Amino acid sequence: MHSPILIAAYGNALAGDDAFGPLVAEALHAQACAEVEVVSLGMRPAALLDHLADRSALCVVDAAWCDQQPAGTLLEMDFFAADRPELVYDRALSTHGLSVLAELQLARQLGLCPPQVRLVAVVAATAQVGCPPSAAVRQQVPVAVRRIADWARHVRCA
Amino acid sequence: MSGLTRESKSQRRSIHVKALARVEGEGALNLTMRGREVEELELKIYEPPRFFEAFLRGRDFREVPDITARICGICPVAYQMGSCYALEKAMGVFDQIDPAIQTLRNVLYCGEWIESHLLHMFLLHLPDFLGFESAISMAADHGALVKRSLRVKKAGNDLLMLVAGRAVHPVGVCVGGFYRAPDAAAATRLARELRTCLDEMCELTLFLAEKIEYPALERDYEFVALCPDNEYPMNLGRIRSNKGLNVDQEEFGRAIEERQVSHSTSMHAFVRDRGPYLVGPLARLNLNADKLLPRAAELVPKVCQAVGKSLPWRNNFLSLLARSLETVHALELAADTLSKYVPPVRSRVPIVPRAGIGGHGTEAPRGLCWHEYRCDADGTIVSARIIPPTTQNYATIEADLRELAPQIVDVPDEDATLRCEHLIRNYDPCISCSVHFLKLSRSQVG
Repeated sequence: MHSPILIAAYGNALAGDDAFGPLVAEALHAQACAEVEVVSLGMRPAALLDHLADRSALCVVDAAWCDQQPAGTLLEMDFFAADRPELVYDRALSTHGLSVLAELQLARQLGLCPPQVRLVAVVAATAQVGCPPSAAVRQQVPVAVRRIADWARHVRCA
Repeated sequence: MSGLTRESKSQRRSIHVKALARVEGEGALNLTMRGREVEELELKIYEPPRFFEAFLRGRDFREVPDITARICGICPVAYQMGSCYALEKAMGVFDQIDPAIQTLRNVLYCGEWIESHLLHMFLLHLPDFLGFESAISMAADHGALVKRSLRVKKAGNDLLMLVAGRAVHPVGVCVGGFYRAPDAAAATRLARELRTCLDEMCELTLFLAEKIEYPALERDYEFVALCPDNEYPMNLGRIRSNKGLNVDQEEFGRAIEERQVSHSTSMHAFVRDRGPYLVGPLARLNLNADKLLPRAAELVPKVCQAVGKSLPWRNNFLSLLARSLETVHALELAADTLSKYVPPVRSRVPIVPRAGIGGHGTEAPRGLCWHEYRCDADGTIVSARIIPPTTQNYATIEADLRELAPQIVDVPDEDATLRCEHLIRNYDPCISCSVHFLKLSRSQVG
């Protein structure tokens, strides 16, 4: 039986601030919760569809590009919000061209998309392979974990 | 992204596809025609080379399957299997691999074929045949079809996770076998889902055969594939073609010739002293159809009747159906194996390093993927050579496009571009796998 809440984290752990998703997933794994499943999908957005069946809520965790905000700013919003910034994996081509957005659009067409899709993202300064994540982004990892846990609690109680 | 220019309708016409969509990796197409004649045709692969063969040198042989798996996120098993078998030959244990380990390797490969074939057939290529821009728009009209295909695709991923730990870049594979054998109870559970998916896939195959109109483009290909004596090809067998190629695995690297071309970061491959050839599902099916398991074999005459062509098929647009039949075969093989699965006595063969050389190819979803490694006495890699399937198909793709070109002279611009892209997608090209054109011939400086 699936957990009703799915947290899907994206990112390359070896590529600068793009490590945000994997770091958050790792920290969430340490706080095991029966009603929340955490998957770290790395650089493979196309895998998301396999995990979506029978979920009531999804939280996407990724790094974002946003000129209006300083690197390390934590963003929380509805995934389909009109003002959502571009994510590192919005334009992913490494999985035959299926991005997170394309996966979720397809899921919507098929009636597989959970009613709630939340985005928790950090504004990235660089996704350069071989660079460690910046201090500003690392500091946001425990903050994001707390906020995601609060959000999941709220969803469970709703 | 594409563009098209004409100097005059009857004179010079150029088609430029700057970034091929719905393929893995980055490539472009430039086609210039004068009247019905092709003046210039280049399938340009501009994705940067990745130097895997160079940085394998100096690594311990045990690291190779985990490194080569990173060549591709869609077909990592092909790179793991090719490197394992080649290194087992180099280490002198190839003939000692237990039958139970060979069986598990085939099951693992089934997972990769199922996952990769379904992704290509239903999410990337079917929109071309049904006249949609993408799987997303196709899903609005064919939602049930896409959902059924996603269920089968997921079964492939589950199979990869069961046998080798995870679906992308599996971690359970090692030279000599597997770090750990799958759990029997989990295997039994998955076998039930695979049976359900097998029934689904038989119906989906008939849908693809009966409801789709396949463009006509017949060519006299040289089909190259593994040809084992008693089973449909995956991991073992001599390498043969319909035009006389018949070599041991180790000889393949000398039987073909790789050439650099100025417009591509990937090399082009040719049968030595002959010409381009085709690897992949169509080649495998044409050379090995008599070895399909019963459910796929039963479908073959129905599919042939639906498309009005008996095997061998010489139209690569029909590779969609070859993939579908192979998926049926893979589901049946995996379901049969897992339903009677007993964990093997040992999951891997112990290896004592020695100096040696080994070459081996296995059948990646896109075709033959061949590896050769030379090791020194402590098992350090001295040299590596990897020939991915897409590299082997580039020259044939360009030849197909030359054949197609006269058919699109009078076709409206947008449709002409789309038909070229459609033809390229027939091959399910994995461009990222193929880019490694720079051969570093000198390893020491000074």
